[in-house]
Amino acid sequence: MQVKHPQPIIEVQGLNFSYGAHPILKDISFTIEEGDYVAVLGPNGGGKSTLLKIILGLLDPEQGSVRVFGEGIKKLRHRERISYVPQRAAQEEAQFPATVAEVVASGTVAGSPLIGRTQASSQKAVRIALSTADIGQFADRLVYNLSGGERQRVYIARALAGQPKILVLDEPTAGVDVEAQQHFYRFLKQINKDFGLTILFASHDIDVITHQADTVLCINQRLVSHGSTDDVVHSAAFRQLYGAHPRQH
Amino acid sequence: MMSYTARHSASSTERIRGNINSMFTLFHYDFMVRAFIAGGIIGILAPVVGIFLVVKRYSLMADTLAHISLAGLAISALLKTPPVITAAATTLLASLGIERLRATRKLFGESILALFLTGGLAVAVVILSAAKGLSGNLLSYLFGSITTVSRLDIWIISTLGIVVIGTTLFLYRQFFAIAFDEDVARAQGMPVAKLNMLLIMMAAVSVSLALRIVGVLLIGALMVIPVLASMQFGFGFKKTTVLAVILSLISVVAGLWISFYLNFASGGTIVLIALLIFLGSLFVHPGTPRMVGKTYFHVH
Ligand SMILES: Nc1ncnc2c1ncn2[C@@H]1O[C@H](COP(=O)(O)OP(=O)(O)OP(=O)(O)O)[C@@H](O)[C@H]1O
Ligand SMILES: [Mg+2]
Repeated sequence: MQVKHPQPIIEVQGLNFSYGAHPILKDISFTIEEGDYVAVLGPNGGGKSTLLKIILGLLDPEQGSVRVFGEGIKKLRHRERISYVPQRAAQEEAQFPATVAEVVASGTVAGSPLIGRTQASSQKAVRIALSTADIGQFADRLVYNLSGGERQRVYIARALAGQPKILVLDEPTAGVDVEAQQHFYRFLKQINKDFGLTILFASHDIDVITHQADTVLCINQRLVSHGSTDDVVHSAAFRQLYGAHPRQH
Repeated sequence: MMSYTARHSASSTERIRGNINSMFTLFHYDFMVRAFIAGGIIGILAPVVGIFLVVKRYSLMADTLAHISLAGLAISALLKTPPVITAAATTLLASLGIERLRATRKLFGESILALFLTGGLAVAVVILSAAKGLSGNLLSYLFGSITTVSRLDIWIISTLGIVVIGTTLFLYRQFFAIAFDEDVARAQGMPVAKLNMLLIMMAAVSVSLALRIVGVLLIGALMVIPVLASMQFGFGFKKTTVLAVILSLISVVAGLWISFYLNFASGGTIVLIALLIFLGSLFVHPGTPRMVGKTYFHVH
């Protein structure tokens, strides 16, 4: 069912955050609508990861509010509607004994009853996620034996297996070659369209993003600019931060 | 030998039966039957809980809890309370403290373990030096003794053991998701703090239950070594768990057997066999590492 008038799905109001005495985010406010494909852009240390973690409820803001699905994030029920692909997945270097299928299936756990066997619907979601991320052929391989790019796709598949409404990705293509990056963001665009999934991803790579995302949130402690990709790239504030011409590869 | 040769009618099958009978004489002893029951439950329990500690890089957790349970034993000697229950209660209490401290993220996980490990040992030593007349039992708690498993112990070990194994298996998928990526689990709204707490409580109970068989100083080994051996095979999580349980049971059964006939300390024997299995597992090369081995051999 298509929503005629997009609803606000993430609302951030007057957000302030600091680590100790270091202010990281200052007075950030914006709204993301259902079905948006949003890039959070900004320099290293600009606060992108911090912002995403606050939206996900992993960090508590000092001031301001975050509402997701119209609810305060801490009170939100069915948080499994949100999936997260962290900047560097926790077990990347460890020799964690887990197959691709097991890791992808772990994405369904939050949404299933606390006790009991894997449900048929979850198994189906896992199969679809494996094929959507095009890693069906890896299903029985150990995650730590995969290449960085392959592993990244496993984490995307795990996120999709939870059948989320919102997908939050932090630098999902770090360490992935440029061609594969283009491919990856097109793939995100596809699932954004096909499933009406709201996507929010952080990156500091201007080129790739400006070619793929619909909306850009540019953050450097403060909200530098927010709007359609074209508007943001041509805004004065953005040019001041990145120079007149986005750097070329 | 003499009796066999003297009896001309003795057939070879009877002879074999005689040998097998003597292999099983240990089951004529009630305490050995109890040791095998207790050992079997702990043999399953230790790696099922242990694998989560290993993958969370919490391998030293079991050792830490073991030293705390030693403090629990000292307390039980002082207060004249039942040892296993007192040790379990003390260890549980401390495990809550450990997890609380870990959740604040103010210290490294291993630093917290070092604090509690040395603290537990210090408490135990002070109490034991103050209260006299414990040394006999203490040795068996330190290193494990098959003769000390009482009928009451069997009840406690099987009841609590089944509760812990059952809980862990029921929540297996949750524990896996959290062990693999805690932030992702938390972002999806899983009760991560509660489940972590529960897992450490399981570990605390397991350690206390294993006191009688492997002893305080060796329980950590039984929770970790079969898991490490199993991980060498390059399987996924489920298969690694199942194999770890099998390897652990082999260690326990063979260890009890040998310690009975050769009069060795049971805990040490069990752990030595687990270590032998681990050494053997290092020669297992799943998939690509075998290629590495070959090239290494041919390069000069
Ligand atoms: N746990 C922490 N304690 C103290 N300071 C922190 C912590 N985590 C991050 N910071 C600081 O907060 C600032 C913002 O970090 P953040 O990770 O949000 O940046 P980012 O925009 O995601 O950068 P990158 O592009 O490198 O991923 C940085 O200056 C960083 O040093
Ligand atoms: Mg970041």
